[in-house]
Amino acid sequence: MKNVISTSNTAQNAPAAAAAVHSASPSPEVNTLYNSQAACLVFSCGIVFKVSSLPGLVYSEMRSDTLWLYLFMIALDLLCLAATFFFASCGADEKLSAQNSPVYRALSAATSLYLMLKGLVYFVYTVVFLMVDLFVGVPPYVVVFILTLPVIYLGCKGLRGISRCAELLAPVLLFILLANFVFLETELDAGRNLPLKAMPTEEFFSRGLLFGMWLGDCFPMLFASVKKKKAPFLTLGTGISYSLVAVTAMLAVAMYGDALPYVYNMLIRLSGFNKLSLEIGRLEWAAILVVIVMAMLALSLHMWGAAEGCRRATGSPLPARLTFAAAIIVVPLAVPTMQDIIEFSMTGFGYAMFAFSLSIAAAYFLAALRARKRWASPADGEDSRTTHDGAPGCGKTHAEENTAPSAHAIHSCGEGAEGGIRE
Amino acid sequence: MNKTARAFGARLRDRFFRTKWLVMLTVIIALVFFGRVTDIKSLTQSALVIGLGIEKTGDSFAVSTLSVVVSGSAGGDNAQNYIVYSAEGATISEGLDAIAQKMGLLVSLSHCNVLVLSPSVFSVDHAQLFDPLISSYSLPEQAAVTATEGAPSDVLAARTGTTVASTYLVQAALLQNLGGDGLTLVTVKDFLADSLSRSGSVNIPLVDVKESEHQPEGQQEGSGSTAELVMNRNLVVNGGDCFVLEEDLAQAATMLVRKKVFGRLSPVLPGGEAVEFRVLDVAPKLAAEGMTVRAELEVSVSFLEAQNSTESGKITPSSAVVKAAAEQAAKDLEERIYACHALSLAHEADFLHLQNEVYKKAGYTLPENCLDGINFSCSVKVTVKEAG
Repeated sequence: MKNVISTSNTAQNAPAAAAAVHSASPSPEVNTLYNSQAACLVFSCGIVFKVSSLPGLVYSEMRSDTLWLYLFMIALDLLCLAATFFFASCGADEKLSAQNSPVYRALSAATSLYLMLKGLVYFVYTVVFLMVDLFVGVPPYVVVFILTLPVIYLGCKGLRGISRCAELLAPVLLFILLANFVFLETELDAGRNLPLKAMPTEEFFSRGLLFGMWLGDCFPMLFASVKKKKAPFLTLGTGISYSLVAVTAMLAVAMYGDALPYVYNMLIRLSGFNKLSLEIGRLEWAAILVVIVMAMLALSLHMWGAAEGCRRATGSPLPARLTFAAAIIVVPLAVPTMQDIIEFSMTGFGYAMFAFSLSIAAAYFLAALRARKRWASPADGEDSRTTHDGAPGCGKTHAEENTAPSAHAIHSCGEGAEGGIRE
Repeated sequence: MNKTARAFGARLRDRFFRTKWLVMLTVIIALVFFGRVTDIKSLTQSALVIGLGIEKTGDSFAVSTLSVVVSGSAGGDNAQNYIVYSAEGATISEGLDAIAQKMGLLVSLSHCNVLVLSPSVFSVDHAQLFDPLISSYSLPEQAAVTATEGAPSDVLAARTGTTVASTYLVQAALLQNLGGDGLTLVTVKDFLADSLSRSGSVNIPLVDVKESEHQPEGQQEGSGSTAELVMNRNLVVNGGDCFVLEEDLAQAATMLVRKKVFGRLSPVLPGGEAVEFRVLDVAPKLAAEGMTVRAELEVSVSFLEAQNSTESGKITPSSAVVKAAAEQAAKDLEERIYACHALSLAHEADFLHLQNEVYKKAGYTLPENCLDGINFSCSVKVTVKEAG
């Protein structure tokens, strides 16, 4: 389904210099998606690493505080997600790109680097669990090669391709996940999530923040613009996704207790304890399918996000694409053992990623706020408007949208208006 | 120049995206290619191991496998035979590799549903015992963990009165409540979860092999005698130490720490009346308050039979003898639970998981190995219900 795109204010008023820089950005329609597609992306790309490898790793540090750390991190991640979609839905990205602000270019460059680094570590995680659970006895280069091709292809193809894949596959993946929960049959003890105080508070944070890399998995969508459908799909999708994360963490501890650190991939283990296993054989394949598909979509999204950040910083996405592709091919094969990278992700690197994630969220939130305030000011000759996803800001009101010829138009809010983040 | 470069880039990009079928084809070819040239063992080259026995002898491990040998005939009838192989190695993997060499097949544990372990094996680190088997040999985490006081290979090789393998019998006994009273399935996952917990103790079914009292008629000489697998006791594993819980105590302890426990209760009243109940449901509840743990056990049973009763007429669940028997059963269970607690203190093995309960409330301030300092009390209620 092609989106019909128009702008409420054309670029005819924009300064020539800004327009020249803006040509480095892709046309808005390429990065436009419906809120239902965004919800599918949050589900397909935003939670896969939190429900697969993470429970075992977190438990090794946090013991029975695992669920509580998950809840804390989910709250922070929701803030990051809110900041992401606030920025994406008010169209600030397009305006800031047009302004050619060095601050925004630096922020985009930092985001691009962050996404590349995170994508690399996630890629290694994926290769490790594939080699443990699926391709046992196969040389790593085969797994890397097989996984790299679709990731790079989808990453270069762009947001629309990724979001359509997510839209198509998310219901299937959700069904398989829910079926795994419904048919789960094993000894559970929810009390293993207690005590609340498995360690002193300062230790809780010093250990827990090591897992900061798992925050902000939806940051690539900062460079998207979200178009609203009537139903609150995004809220619904986010609610379902993060509920699944919390339930999986709770179940993981209830099932395994102190044996959880030996679980490489929780989703695959969950599917092993299935009532139907006695009738139709082992069902791990279903979870393997879910994890591979979700991991590929998430990695592609990270690659696309890194490329878009690079596009805004340098004018071309090519450096990020080449770096990302080279990194995911070379690094897993060059390191002595890929486990080293997993160990590294839980050192001081985790703290840095935690700080960086929150900083990125704060920076983009402030940028969106400032942009909204400036473009909504009466000096620009525009009223304060409602955005596509319900956030107050720039763009046409819903009434205008309904009467306008291009009712489904995405509005590059304040396009042509002067302002934005001042240097 | 810039415009030309951009146009060239756009053309290149368009061509790239038109090649999606080429990308898919490349992946398929790669998969097919690597499927042909890499050393992937097919099913016919793998041994279907359905039971694994491990024993520690000195510094080495004696590993035994029970495998299915499937042979086809011209008429299309397939016959299944079972064969036990044993080998020793400094590690379990070495033992399994030696078995693979003997069989000429690759050993895969993905169909292995029963592990038979010798008590000596538990002296090694429990996580290191199972983790390689799960990650390298695909051992299912839902496989049953059992123990035997004899050689594990004897349990695997036991010829039972039926045509099925001994491990199928063990599995059926644990899953379908055909074993001793109160015995329950302990999976690899549950074993590790309990063994690595604060309490650090777990009780698992103990399998004894006994020669059948009456051998089947017409049995060929040299074909070996028929054996019975007796499972009515538990082995308590506490770190590297182990001890046996006899039948009644095993039943009481299992009821308190596991949820799916079935079996029978057979109280005998002081007047000599014997009543038989079938266990329908067990609801254990342990609650800690400071360093005191209170256990409450509710057992739902159905009435099966009463003998030596002085009551006239039909005996129903509402008969006085049945009610008295339910009270007696509750009293018996309570005494057994206290006996288990005394045994756990004597062996310093917290198989009732009291420390786990205290830890849930106390948190990290709870000292290690504080079983002696925990006060314990319990109450048991047996309710007779109608059952079809």
